[in-house]
Amino acid sequence: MLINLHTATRALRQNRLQAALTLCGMSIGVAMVVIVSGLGRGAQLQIESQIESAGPTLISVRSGNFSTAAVTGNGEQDSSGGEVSQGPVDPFGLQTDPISDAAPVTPVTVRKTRHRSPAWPLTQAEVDAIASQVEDVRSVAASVAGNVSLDEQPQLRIRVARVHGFQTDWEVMSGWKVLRGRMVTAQEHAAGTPVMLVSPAVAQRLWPDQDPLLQQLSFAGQDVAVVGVVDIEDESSSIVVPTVHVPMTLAQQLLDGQSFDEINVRSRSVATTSGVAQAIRRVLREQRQLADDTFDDFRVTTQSTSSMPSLGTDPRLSRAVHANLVELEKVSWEEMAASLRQAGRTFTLLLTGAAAVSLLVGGIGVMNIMLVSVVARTREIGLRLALGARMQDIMLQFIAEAVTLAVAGGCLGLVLGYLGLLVAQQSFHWAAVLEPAMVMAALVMAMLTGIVFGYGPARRAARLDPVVALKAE
Amino acid sequence: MPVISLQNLKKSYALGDNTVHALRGVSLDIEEGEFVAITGPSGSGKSTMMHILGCLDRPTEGHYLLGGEDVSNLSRDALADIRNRQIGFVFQGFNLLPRTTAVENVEVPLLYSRPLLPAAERRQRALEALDSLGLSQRADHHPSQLSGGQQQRVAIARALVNKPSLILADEPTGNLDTKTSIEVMRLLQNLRESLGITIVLITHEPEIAAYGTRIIAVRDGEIVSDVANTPTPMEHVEEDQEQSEPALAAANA
Ligand SMILES: Nc1ncnc2c1ncn2[C@@H]1O[C@H](COP(=O)(O)OP(=O)(O)OP(=O)(O)O)[C@@H](O)[C@H]1O
Ligand SMILES: [Mg+2]
Repeated sequence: MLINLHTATRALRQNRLQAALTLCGMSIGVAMVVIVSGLGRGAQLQIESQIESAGPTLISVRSGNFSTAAVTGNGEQDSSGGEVSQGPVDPFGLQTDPISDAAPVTPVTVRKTRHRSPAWPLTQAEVDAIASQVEDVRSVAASVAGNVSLDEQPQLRIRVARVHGFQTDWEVMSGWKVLRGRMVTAQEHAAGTPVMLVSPAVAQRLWPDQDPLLQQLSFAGQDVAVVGVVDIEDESSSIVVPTVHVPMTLAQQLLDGQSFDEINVRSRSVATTSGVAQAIRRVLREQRQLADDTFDDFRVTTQSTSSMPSLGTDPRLSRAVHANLVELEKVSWEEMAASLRQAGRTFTLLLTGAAAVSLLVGGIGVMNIMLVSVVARTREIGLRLALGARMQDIMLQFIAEAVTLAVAGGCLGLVLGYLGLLVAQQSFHWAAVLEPAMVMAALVMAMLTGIVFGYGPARRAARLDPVVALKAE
Repeated sequence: MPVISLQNLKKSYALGDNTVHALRGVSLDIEEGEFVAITGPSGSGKSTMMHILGCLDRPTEGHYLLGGEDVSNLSRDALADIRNRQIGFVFQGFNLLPRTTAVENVEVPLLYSRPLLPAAERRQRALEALDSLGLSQRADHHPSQLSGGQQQRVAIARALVNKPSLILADEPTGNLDTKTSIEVMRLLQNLRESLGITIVLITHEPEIAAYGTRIIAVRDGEIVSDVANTPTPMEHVEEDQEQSEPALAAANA
């Protein structure tokens, strides 16, 4: 095989111009394949990420259960809410449709207590339990917030700041983006290093017209330095009491406590969100050893349930909607995701068709040069046959030549394609992705093109009559 | 037992409606170590006979026994193996691969030997073959950098590299001047005497044919005469070779 490669490269070097032209044809074909699959894949990934980012995969767990409509995140009634005291209430919210069902159901009295289940703070043990016991969880992170008084500093008029502690991954789940400086690193999270992130609004309020990255705040003698300005949507109140975001360990130290306010969980996909929410509820109930007849003392909400207005609407309507929300969101999201994916696939398929055509053209170029080469080298073939080459030896020699040509063109095409993708990305802002598997596939395709289009000419060479070939000019 | 035995060998080509009879029944035995010169006018069927002797072509009729084995009806690949192992070809036009060094040219038959020798051994044997023809200095030269005589010697080295029992030469001196022709003929004579290789040579020129131990004349596809010959003596061979080397080098420069 090596000998063949050697012979092949020599033969191609002897035929430089033609080989170069064929190489160009081939490389354009492969470049097309690379560009097309890169753009196709990019578009697909973009669709995926849009589905992911828009779709409800975020689940929030808070301590206490103050919800108006006494329903859990997954639509089950737990009647721990306290606003409803009169009117027909369906105690089996899941079994009957509370709106269309005309038959009045037995009225039940619901206690007016808002704090039916008192807040029992969330702890690291629960974070660990969710991370280890619930399937399809991508990430879990807790956060805590509280006001901490500031040491007196000359230019600062503010006496108190809201310290928000967060664990690793929280920033990813919340979609924080660094505007200046950097994120808090994993090491800083682990060590509780005194560093903090602020939003642009807070930075402007604390240090008007100064570089926030040079600033620090001092809490009980501890200096906490700003390492990043992050685009965080702070609540409006945070302007009055400015919020700073610090590693969890530091926040717990400043707030002098071990508990969390909220745990955020990201499920692996839209389709698993409701299942994960249910599992979290089960795990937490177990963790907290809640008896079957007691209510949740925490709330598990998904993005859709939390976006549903519950205050000020008819609780029955609210309950009805909540009860169906899970299935609703699942169906609509899954359908939408499926149709988007289908569109992406069709797009890729169409482009791939175009790429295949250009690869075909490249392959025909290879075939052409090989046919020319066989004719031009008939005498050499005759000589090789006379010296004892079998048919397969000649076949291999010419196929190796075609494959060398095609793969060399393929490598060039990869470079061209890569550049093409860069241009598409930089100038047109198209999503483009080049994965190692795609590079391999392009090379394999180039190789196959060489074999397929080299086969005919190689066969023709191998079947030459030695006597006739030797007499050729 | 003769190395080569042709029994009523016929070869004809169909050209449109009429048939060209290139060989019309040739019977011939050649013993081991003979140096046979075949002469005859153009179109008499010499090359056709040579192609069949070299297993490049198959006869239309009759039998060809090579080393006692009937090879008239073997497959293409079987014939290729026989050519590779038993036969060395020397052509009028040298037929060296262009832009390929002398030693690589000599290696080509070894690439098709089964089992395949390791690369180092192939190189070694090619260099030995070149050396035996006094070309070790030219191993890395391309054919375009060699004189005609040197090219033909490279071709002879290539024919010898697989240690064949038979060398077939179709007008090997056709493209060479008289002096170089004599040199090549002495080389072939030397091979026969030192290695005992059987040589069959085609030529137009009586002086070249005179180097053979047997001269066969062909006309219209038939053997018209077959006589033993006392080959031209090998006088001054050493001397001549020493003289010719610098002369060739000068011609090259
Ligand atoms: N492939 C072929 N098709 C038809 N006729 C052929 C073919 N090959 C050879 N012939 C004919 O066979 C005859 C013998 O040809 P051959 O080449 O053997 O002659 P030769 O003796 O070698 O001549 P020269 O001395 O010119 O080389 C010629 O008449 C030639 O035209
Ligand atoms: Mg001839």
